[in-house]
Parts: sequence; C-alpha cells; structure tokens
Amino acid sequence: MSQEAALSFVGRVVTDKDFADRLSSALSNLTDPAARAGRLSEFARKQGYDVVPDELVPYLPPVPAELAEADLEKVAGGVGGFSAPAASRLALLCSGTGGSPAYAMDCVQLNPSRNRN
Amino acid sequence: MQLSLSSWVAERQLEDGAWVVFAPHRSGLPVLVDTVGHALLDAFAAGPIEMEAAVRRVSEAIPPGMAGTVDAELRVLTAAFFSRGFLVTGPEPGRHAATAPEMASRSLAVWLELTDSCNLSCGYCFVRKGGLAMTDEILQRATGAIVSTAVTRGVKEVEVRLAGGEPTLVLPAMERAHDLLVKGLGAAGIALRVTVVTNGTCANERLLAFLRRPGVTLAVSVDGVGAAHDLHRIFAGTGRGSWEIVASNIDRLRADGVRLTLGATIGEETCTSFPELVEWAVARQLPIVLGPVDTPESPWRGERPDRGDYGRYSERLIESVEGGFRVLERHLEAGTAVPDLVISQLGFDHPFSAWCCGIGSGYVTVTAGGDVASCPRTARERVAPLGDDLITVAASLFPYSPAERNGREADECLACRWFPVCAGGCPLMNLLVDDDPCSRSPLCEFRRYVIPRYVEYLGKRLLHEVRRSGGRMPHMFQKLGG
Repeated sequence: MSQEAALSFVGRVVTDKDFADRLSSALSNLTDPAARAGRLSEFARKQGYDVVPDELVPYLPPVPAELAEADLEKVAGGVGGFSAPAASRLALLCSGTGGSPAYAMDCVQLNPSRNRN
Repeated sequence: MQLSLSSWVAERQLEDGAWVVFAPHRSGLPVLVDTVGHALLDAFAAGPIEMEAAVRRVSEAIPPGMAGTVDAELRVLTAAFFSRGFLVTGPEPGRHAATAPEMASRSLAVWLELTDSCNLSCGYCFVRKGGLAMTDEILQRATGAIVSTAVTRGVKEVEVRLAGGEPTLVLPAMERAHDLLVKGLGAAGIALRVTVVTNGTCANERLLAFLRRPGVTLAVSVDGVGAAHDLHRIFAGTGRGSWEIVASNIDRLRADGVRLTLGATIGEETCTSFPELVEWAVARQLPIVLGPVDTPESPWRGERPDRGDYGRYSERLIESVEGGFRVLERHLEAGTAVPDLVISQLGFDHPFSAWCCGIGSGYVTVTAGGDVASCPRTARERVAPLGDDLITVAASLFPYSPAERNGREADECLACRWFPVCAGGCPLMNLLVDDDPCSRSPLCEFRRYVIPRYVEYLGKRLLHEVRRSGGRMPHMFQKLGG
C-alpha cells in the first residue's frame, strides 16, 4: 500500500482506455459493495498495484444530489467497491475526453506565464 | 510523497487557453491540457511539492463553491500527469540512456524483396536492378524463416512489406507469399499485417483482388505532385514521368475502397512540392508517411555524402515541411477533416532507447536472391544466407550497439530532449557520413525543427477534435487509447 501505488493506479485508469475497460469488465455483474471492493483490490494487485479501495477515496468527488445512482451506473458501468456513483464519475473520466465535463473550470484565468520549452 | 515536473517535458501554448504537453521519454502521444491543467503542472514546476499542496494552490484560485469537487478532480488530474510521465517522484538523470537492441522483440517487421526489377528508373533508388525475381523455392524458405523466427521469438504480430524493385510486377509471387504467411503464422496464432510498397504504376483487377484480402494495405511512394514527382520517378524504357498514371491509379484504387497510404519520399530537389502534395492528399483524405531522402542531392550509391551539404538540405526541408504543416492547419481551422501525417524514423508514441528503425533486432530484409540483410539499403553490400532465426542473422550483419553512446561524455544526443523520439537518426546514414552509427544525425537540424513542430501540430489536431465535439475543453485531452 502506498500513495504512489494509488496515484499510479488512478492515473492508469484515466489515461489507458484498455485498462479501464478491463477494470470495468472485472467489476461487471457485481452489485454488492464489499464484493466490488474485493474484486477491485484483486484486479489492482494482479496488475502490480498494491492498492486498497480506501486509498482511492481522495480521488472521488462528492456525488451531486440530483444524479441518481442508477443513472450513473448506466452511464459508466460503475467502478469500485466504494460509493458507486462517485466511482462512476472516475470511470467517466475514462470515456475519451479524459476530464469530467461536469466542472466548468475553463472560465478560470490562472495566468500561466511560463513556457518551459 | 512529493512530485515535481519532469525536466524532459515539453509544452507549447496554443489557443483558447489550451496547451500541448509531451513527455518524449515516456509512451503516449502529446496531450492537450486546459488552463487548470496547466496551472497544476506549473504548481509542480518549482520543485518537489506534496500533491495536496499543489492541489490547494490551484484550487484556491478557483471560485468558491466548487472547491470540494475541484480538489478530487485535481488529484485525478495529478494522477493522470504522473501516469503520463509529466510528474516524477525523484531526481531525474541529466542524460538519457541508450540501450542495446532488444533481441526478443515482440513484433517483427520484414522487408520481403520479391524482385529487384522495376519499371521505373528513379535516380536515388538504392536497389541495384539485376532482373532477379524470387523463386518459389526461395519464397517457401523465406516465409518459413519468417514463421520460425516469429514462433521462436514469441512474436505476437508480423508486419511484412512486399517490396522490390516493384512488387506488382510479380503479382503471383505476392499472392503466394501471402498464402504461405497466412497459413504458417495463422497456425501459430500470430497476427499478420501486409503492406505492398509500390510505385503505383500498376492497378489491374488482379491487384485489386489481392488488396481486398484481410490485413493487406498499400503504400504508394510519391516524391511530390506533377513535375516534382516526375523529376526522378521516370519509366525505365521511355524516360517519361509517371505522375499522371500514378495519380490516376490512386484515384481508381480509392474508388475501389483500397486502403492506401502515400509514402512521401521528398528530397532536396523535390521537397518544395510537399505543401502541394499535402493539399492533394487532404483532398483525397490520404494518410501521409513523410520520409525525407537521407542524402542531399546525390542518390544513395554508397559513396560518402558531405556533412556540410546537410545544412543546406535541412534548411530546404524545414521550409517545405513547414509549408505542409500550414496547409494542414489551414484545413483544421476551416473545419475540414485532415488525414493522418506520420514522420518515419521518429517515435512519438513509443520512445526509442536503441536504434530508430529496429535494425539488427526487429527489422529484417530478405532479398530476391534469398539472402538476409539488416536493411534494404545494404542488401547488395553485406548479406548472409537465410537461417531459421532471421533476427540472429540480421544482428550479425549489423554488430553495433547504441549503448556505446553511454560511455561517451561528449555525446550530444543523450543530452537532447528529443533523443527518445529521434535516437540519433538513421544509424546507416551516420555510419556512411561519420564512420560511426552512434554519431549525430546529419539531419539533426531538421529533426530539431520537425519534432517540436509535429508536437504542436498534434496539439492543434486535438484542439480541433475538442471544438468539433462541441463540448467543454477538458482539463486533459488525449487520443483514445493513447
């Protein structure tokens, strides 16, 4: 268990579509949270990431109240043995855009000034 | 755990607050990041910092009310950046490291020279025509060696380029080679991809039928459009240019649904036509593989080119290729779909640590006479008989290692940001010019231009995709599966 393993695992889920698809398949047909958590850990370990579901909690945003769990499951298939809707949000990140469309942060001007080239 | 921005990362600002970011030393094409994503990278740029501190620094600049969700999002983004190699956990070496060629390559590429005859007489061609066609006996031995090599090496996929000379002159041999490979590799569960490398002067019904076979594609070599193409690509008998018939055949093949790629072999005398060629390709949505000729002016005949001439050649290439990029970008801005552009011998998706072409490891040439060479260019200079393991034979013919660079303090390439993309250039060309396969590419100036320019172009393509989707600019956008 380590922060680095969790960081690597989440990073792989959101940048490697094949990996995310395999994770999604591994968790399909599992509805019991404990079973999903167990399968997630097993999947991660098999892939070389010593991660437990609790370590992924910081990466999961709160669930908007207006979104039903079932809706999110339908969208993303559900990932993780933790809060299914929140995990689905993480899975949504793997949907091709690589970023959640739910947050309108492109209006923020942070004045990046440095070109490192 | 503290993270910092990798010193190898390159980035360039585009429009609408978008940046293209690329880690040349790690797998994966460049990605697009938005203002927030770039601010997060900036937070790690000053040196090692805890993820939470970086997240806090960025989230503080975001309007209140979103902070709870933003922090988790920024952590995920940090993880994505870490995964792509933009962020690192410890100090990095100041130089890249070169490695010996990996002999247990998981992919095998074979240049199968079915004949050394050609109906064209291009001045720069490296094939010495001898009127030789591969016999059925050699074909069986060659394909058998390909299969046994793939099986022995645990290769998952074999890419065979049916080449010449002009391979369409020996169409029955192409069919026979394909049949044998499908049978042999198929029995071993190994995937096969076949590319016919042609001058495009032949397009009959039998060829069309062959090109409909699964996994078979066509690469048509062109030097430019019209007169630029005809400068060298002339018929052997009449001396007449081939552009008119090649262009007509390409349109016919396209109409028949053939998947084809243009191999743009631009040289010093023809490169000014490259922007026009790009325009021609965009109109037909034909992917382009850009492969500059390795020598300035004079054709490849084995004599030593003057390194001094490459400066002039590079300047011309830069001007011409820049013109090609501008054509593509103009179409992007106009909302036109543009075909893929790939630059040969440069590894943007997967970094090189050995040679840029797999010479001596995963890339082998089999000549029409049944010999093995390490590269089509050396097929008349240094060859060995066919063996059951083609890689071992090819390696014996090119007994050099890029790892030699590591012991040289003055090696400029290992200190270059772009080494994992360029690998120092074509080792055969370096050997010819400098007597050293590990020298700096004579086309270094061009490569230093084209690599960051291509990264910028890929960023613009990603931005175009985001705009076309009509959605918001995400914090990070990458090609699916990339």
